[in-house]
Amino acid sequence: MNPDPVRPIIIVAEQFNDPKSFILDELIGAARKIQRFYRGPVKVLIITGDCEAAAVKSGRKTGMDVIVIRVPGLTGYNGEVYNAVFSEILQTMHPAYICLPHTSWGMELAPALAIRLNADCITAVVNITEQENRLLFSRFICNDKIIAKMNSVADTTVLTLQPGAFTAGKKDDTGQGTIENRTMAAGSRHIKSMGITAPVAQDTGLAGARVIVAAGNGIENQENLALVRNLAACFQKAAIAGSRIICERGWLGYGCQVGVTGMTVAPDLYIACGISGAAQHVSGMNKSGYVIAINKDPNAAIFNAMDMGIVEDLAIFIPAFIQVCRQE
Amino acid sequence: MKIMVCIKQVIDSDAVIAVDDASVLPKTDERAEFHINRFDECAIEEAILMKDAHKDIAVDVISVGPPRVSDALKRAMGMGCDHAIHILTDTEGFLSPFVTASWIAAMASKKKYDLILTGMLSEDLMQGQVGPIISERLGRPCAVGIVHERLMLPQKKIYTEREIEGGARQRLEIDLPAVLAIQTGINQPRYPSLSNLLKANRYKIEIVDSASFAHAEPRQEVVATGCPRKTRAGRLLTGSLDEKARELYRILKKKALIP
Repeated sequence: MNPDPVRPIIIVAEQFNDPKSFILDELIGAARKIQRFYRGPVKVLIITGDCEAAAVKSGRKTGMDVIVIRVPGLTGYNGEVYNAVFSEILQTMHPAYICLPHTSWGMELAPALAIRLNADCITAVVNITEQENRLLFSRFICNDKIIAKMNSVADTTVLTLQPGAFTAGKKDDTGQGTIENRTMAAGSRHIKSMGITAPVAQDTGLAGARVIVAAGNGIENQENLALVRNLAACFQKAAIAGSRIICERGWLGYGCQVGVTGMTVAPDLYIACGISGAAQHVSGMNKSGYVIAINKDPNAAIFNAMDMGIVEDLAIFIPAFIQVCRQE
Repeated sequence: MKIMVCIKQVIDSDAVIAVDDASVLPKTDERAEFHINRFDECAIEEAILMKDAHKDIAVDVISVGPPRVSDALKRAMGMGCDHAIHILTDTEGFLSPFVTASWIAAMASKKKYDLILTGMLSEDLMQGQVGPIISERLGRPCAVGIVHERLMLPQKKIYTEREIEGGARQRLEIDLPAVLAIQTGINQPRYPSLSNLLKANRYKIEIVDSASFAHAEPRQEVVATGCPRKTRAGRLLTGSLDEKARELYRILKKKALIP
């Protein structure tokens, strides 16, 4: 089903006092990719609280038509408030596509927003292509081993875009869009935010490490962590890290977790031992200089995100490698 | 108090062996085994922990799928669920989250649960939509990514912590009835007890034909599947174990990454 080309592509974003707006850039990149195949206009909605300045500034930087929605008293994400505010505005705009970031708030809001708008929802989109006159949205399935291309058959489609998958592209300097300011009162009836707890800072040496050796579910038991530590000892300025599962089990502290809900690291060398390569982990280390993967599963997703890979049981390979290091 | 836990039976990861450009869903080994989606397993465990900690809590477990799904429901009962509901479909193929969630919501609205738990996403389709869609269909609040909860029974609320970026947590008080989508790490799921499993095998699961629900028109379809693009060089070392170890050392030495 091809939407009427005057129906807009709407970007949905939030902006409080934190100045970072890279997510907005990526959403614009995704919207531009949609525009290659579907020529609707792009508009940006930014929800904010009492202090609109940061939102207006981010909006201006996009160069696009922006509506900044001020919700008095709002200090951060609340699912009920965001759904009420955005569904009310979006219903008047008759969008064809709605782009949210696949962040913790975007993934929670998108499916509920889609139901309210009688729309389809496709989450964690990493690419947008076209085939036989319809837009296809690519996303990972099966523990990130496989890419599925999906098609929406609804009139309106809500998408969440995977952070890091789309780039902003060249800034279009020819246009300066309009900024419209609106105020909408909205309260939450059933969800009361009690604040945000920052993670407990743990000095794990990850931030300053040149080399990080990371343990994943493939190490199979806690004793095998010794292999990972011994491997790290072959290098200088090395630290060990873990995937989410390892930290959940308490084999390593949460301060060692690399990934979306843990730390983002960018060492010169990252050695992933028995790590499956789930996107949520890879996004925390994919800016590393050189990535090595050791995994006995040849189909593991990690082999798509590494420079050099070894398909071997780490319990056998790591000692063999350490032996070579000692001989040299 | 009544809790419903929604679970999905998913195929074992190492059974996904090939992607065929012509077929829509990945090829799987015929001897493939299935297990309860690990996020849903944490949801079951959390419900049973609530049951252990408070009086008068009954836990229903529900799943949508073909006949083999009864194995997953039995295991859930083995972990301590009181009643199992199987929404039976005859399809082995893709079932969109909108359809799954619509059927579950229709079932839930008849039974009036105080709390509905789902896993945050499934290991196979990984969309993370069923929880939020159920909550929207029932007109109840939802929170996704729960790593901690505490019932506030006299106030008919639940205190939750949801995990957000960087390991921070958003703390929420939510009115019941509510829907929570559970993140792993909230607990370590127990093994089913033998006595519970024996009881589960004799238990009469409530089977509901999916055709008995109002039709939910799917809004999306899977058009093709394929291998992910490599984001880096992706070179695999070849040779014997010893040859690979030496080659790796040589490469690291050349790049001055190893002293």
